[in-house]
Amino acid sequence: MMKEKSKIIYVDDEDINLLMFEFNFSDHHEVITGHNGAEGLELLHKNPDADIIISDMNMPNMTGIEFIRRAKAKYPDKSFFILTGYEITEEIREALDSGLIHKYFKKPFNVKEIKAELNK
Amino acid sequence: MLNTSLSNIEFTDLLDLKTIQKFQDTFSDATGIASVITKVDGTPITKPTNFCTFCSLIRQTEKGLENCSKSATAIGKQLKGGPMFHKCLSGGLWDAGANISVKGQNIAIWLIGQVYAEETDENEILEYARDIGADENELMEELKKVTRMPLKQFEKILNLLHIFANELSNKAYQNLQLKIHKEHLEILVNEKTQKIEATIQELKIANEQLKDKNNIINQRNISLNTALQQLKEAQAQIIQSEKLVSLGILTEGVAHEINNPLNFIMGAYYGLEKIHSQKSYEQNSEKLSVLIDALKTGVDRITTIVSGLNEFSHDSTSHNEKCDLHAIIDNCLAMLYNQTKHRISINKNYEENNLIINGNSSNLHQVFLNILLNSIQAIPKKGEITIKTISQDSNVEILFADDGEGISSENLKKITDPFFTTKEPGKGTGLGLSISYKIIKEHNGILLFYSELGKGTLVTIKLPKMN
Repeated sequence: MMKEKSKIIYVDDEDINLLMFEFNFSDHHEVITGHNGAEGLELLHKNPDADIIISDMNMPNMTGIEFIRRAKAKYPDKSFFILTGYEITEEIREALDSGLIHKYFKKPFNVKEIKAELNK
Repeated sequence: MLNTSLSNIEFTDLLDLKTIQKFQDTFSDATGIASVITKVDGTPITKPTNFCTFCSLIRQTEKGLENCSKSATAIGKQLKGGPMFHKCLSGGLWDAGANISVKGQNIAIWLIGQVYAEETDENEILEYARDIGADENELMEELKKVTRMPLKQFEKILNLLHIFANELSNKAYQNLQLKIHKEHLEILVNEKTQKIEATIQELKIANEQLKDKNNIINQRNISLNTALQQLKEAQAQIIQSEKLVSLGILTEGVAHEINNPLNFIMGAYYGLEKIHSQKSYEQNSEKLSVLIDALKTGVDRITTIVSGLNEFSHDSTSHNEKCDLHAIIDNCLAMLYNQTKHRISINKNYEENNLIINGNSSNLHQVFLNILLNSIQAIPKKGEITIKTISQDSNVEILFADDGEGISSENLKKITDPFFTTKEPGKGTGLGLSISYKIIKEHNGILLFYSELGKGTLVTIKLPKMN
């Protein structure tokens, strides 16, 4: 029996980013995508078995960190990651230091780096 | 002062001697009478005419010469009252004289005479010859050659002489006047010449001073031109460095805007690599087209941003570029997209046709970017920016309206002052609007601000279509 694929929730406001992520990670993971923080929270609610949440920073209404802060409050055991085009900001640095997020990935993404982190 | 004073006037100064001599000779020739013109003291002025040997013979004797001189002096003294004639105190011939005078002052005496009056007794002369010891026979022989006339006739000739002498006096007087006038004129001319020379000298000095001052002014002008040139260069550098600072402020957003499409490209690369390594083209043909589209979209987005940056930062001083205002505003919006996309809605209310004016495209980018950046920074959370363009006969109007915090009327006066800013460090240089103002002025346009605290700001730019 093949091991069941782990679920990943990926949130980004750009469709192409979502597509590219799916293409590159769907062979080992089940990738569920949303366009903003609100959708992300909804996906979390619908998919309690998703352990890994990766979010963009710059999104409408809610930044990635704001979304994760809310999600973490509800699901403290899950692993949260940021994948953004920004250089590391003070907000991200604080999130890392406080353990709110596990790691920060920078766009353009490095598939090997992310895979290595997800397989830990 | 006049040089001419009556005391030292000479007869020959006033009358031409040659003419007078000719006058005298002609007179003597016509009348047969001896004639000479002398100074007042008796010194001859003219050459004697018609002098008779008779008188010479008498003057060859000591006594005769003495008497002859006495007689001449006597006639000179008596002449003061007017013309007169008398019997010679020596040989007994008749003599006469008339004064030539100027302003009552005698300058010469015209003497005539050696006339034998027909009324005279010859024995008296004979007796005189014996008395002075002259040769009687020779003297009497010469007496025969002496001009003879009745005394009455001599008197008439004297009257003629008097008229001539008067005319000569008049002539001398006129000449004196002329001479005085001439001297007066010469003095005047000299004085004027001296004054003119003095003035010329002063003018020369003034001219030299002017030349010196002119040199100083020219040198200052050169320095001023150099300073002006340096100022212009410095201003151009300030504009350019403000662009770089704006770019710095934009970089964060621009980098993000590039990193996203780079993410598309990178994602597509990984996907293509996987398909290629599996040689699974057939079963992935749909996937392939999605990946290729992602590549194209990523490259297009980056191209737009990079060309926008180039438009903004290229350093050109030309004011003759064709500037498509809508394209420039859109470029600025593209560069600012990252800062607006989730919180500020941009309402574009553009004129239907393209608005193309003559100007400097890069500098206009800078103006619109500065104004839009200010509007974005004035909107703390969510808001709206409306951009309206209007085409008029020879102008275009561009309006930027935001519903941000607005500017207080106190600050509104200062917003185009260099280095005035209310922004945090790193958010602005304080040069943006002062440079925008300068750039619009260089385009012969107008930049106006209207703002209300808590309501928003309206920026109006008016630009001529042709520059």
